[in-house]
Amino acid sequence: MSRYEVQLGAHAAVVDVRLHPEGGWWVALDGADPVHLRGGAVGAAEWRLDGDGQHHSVAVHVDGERLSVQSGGHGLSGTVVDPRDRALDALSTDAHGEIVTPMPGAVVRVLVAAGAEVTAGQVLVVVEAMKMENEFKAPAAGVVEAVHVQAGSSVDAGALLVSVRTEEGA
Amino acid sequence: MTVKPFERVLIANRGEIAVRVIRGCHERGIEAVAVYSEADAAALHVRLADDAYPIGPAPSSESYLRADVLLRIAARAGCDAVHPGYGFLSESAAFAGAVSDAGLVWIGPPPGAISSMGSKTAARRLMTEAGVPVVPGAIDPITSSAEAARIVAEIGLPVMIKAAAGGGGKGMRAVFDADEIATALAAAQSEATKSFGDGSVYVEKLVVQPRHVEIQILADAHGNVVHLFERDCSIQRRHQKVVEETPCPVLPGATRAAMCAAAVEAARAVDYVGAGTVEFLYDPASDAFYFLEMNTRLQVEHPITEVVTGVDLVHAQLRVAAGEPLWFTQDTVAQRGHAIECRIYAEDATAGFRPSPGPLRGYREPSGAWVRVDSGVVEGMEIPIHYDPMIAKLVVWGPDRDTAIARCARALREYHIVGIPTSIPFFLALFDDPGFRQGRYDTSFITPEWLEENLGEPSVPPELAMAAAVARFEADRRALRAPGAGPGGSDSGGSDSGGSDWRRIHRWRTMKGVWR
Repeated sequence: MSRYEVQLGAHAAVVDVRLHPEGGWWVALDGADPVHLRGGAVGAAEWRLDGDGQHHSVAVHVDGERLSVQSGGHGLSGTVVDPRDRALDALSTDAHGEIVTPMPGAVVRVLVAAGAEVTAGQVLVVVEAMKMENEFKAPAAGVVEAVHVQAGSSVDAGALLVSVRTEEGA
Repeated sequence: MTVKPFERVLIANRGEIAVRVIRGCHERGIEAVAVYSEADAAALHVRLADDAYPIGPAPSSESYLRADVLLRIAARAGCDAVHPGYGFLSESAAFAGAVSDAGLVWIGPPPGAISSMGSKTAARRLMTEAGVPVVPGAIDPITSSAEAARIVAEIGLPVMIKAAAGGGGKGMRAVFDADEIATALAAAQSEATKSFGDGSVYVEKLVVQPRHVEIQILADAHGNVVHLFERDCSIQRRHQKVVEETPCPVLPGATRAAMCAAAVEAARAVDYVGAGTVEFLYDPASDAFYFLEMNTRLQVEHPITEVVTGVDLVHAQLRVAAGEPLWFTQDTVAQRGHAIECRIYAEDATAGFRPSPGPLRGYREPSGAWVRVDSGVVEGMEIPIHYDPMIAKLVVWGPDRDTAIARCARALREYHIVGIPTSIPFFLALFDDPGFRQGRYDTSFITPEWLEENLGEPSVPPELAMAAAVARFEADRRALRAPGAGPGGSDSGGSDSGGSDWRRIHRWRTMKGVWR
């Protein structure tokens, strides 16, 4: 399951999303019972969502954490934040771009190799813990110096995952 | 004068008006050559033109205002005429002259007409001589309150004391009571000195709650001048038009006829050729109108005139500039139905129309019967910070005003713009206003109070939050499935400027270059 904090002007919501086995998603708004929604992107900035006999066509665009919507003619901007990103950002990186996991878990995916050029925010490694997938991202643009884990391996809290030589550190 | 249709026209402009003129050229079998600044390389006018030339950096002083560069490109591209659009160099008599000197046809009025109408005092004198009513007062500067009192005795209160060198509302004081003359004069003089380094002021009749009503005229090089009726442009913010309609909902027929006749006289007085607009202040209380100025170019709001009269003004400009006589007479032109234009601006109506340049993440124009959108943008484009913040003009027609308003509101609700705030919520609120619906409004209609009262907080339905989370969820999944997807796949930063995809790729390449 992924949890997102959606913020638009004075409005804020916490939305849980996970895949529904029959297609679409289970979506729970602010801790309410999840509803099964189906649909998908229509064009660059529109989403169609159907569920509970309701049909919604909404003007939404997401670019990283940046959210743009149109509602009643109003163009609004906001954010869609995965709170884990913030927690991980705070815990897992030091100035030299050493990516450390704050929690024990299993490495599910390794998405880069040593020598790869990465950009700020690019996902490097995914660690599953407590049935949640946690993405570890490059703190800044740079070059991967070393990857210290491989897919399938278990890691303890505090384990070093990836070393990135960042532009700032270089 | 011989008629020689053009083969290739240089469009010395950008945005929607460049697109408008290119389309007019193509419809008449003429090739169109575009110019573009560094900020406009991906713009629609560049894509639609037969040929396009870079003209310099983004600031207009280094690109669209470079007369020398424009003339060089016109020669290199083999153009035989130049269309200036509106704004930029369209009302530069010097540029019009330089175009003619270079052996090219200027698709606009003669330089003499531009300069006559460009000078406030010269225009006022010419109009008085031509019998066109001007705002009562004396444009000669005054220095003492005795002089001011004498003029007030002549024209009556209220009056406006105005800086001679003025503009932008600076050095202006309204006087409603004779006792206020001395204080207002001193204040206006001091403000004029501070703002323009020139303390000269003059006294003019103040029209309280005026409407801005203008007449479209069209003249050929053979002495024929016709008018194409009026446009009411009284809905303004920062003294600039945002909504225009025709006919004016409160103009009596006899006044319309008198105003149109005065506009034709004004055009004749300066030997006008081409499309032009004579602007008047209209005082509904006294049913009087006064000459304001003449715009010696195609106006932004020209489409509403085209829609009610069936006359294509760009075609007309091209034909008249090529030496053709007008192909219709005054008595064959009629106003049919009602037309409204909304200027869709990249401005946040809920924040006092603050400019809101940025990316058009999602963009789809409304359409349907009697809906016309003139724009120069496409989805994914950035509204640059360097130019006028207009995204598009939404123009609708209806057999009557109520139908036109309803159709316009329908089209506004269909307008899909994601990425930046726009003036759309303002128009929707305006069309709900009982005063506007009855046609009762003047140039001071939009106030901060009105905006506060009528532009409510946008509603944020729950499905928006759900869709946002689902969109992010899917973006994260895509980023995981595509290792090394590179920039923008799943951005945790929020610190970079977040331009278009193209810009991000560009930055990516640049960085590579730096490292290697």
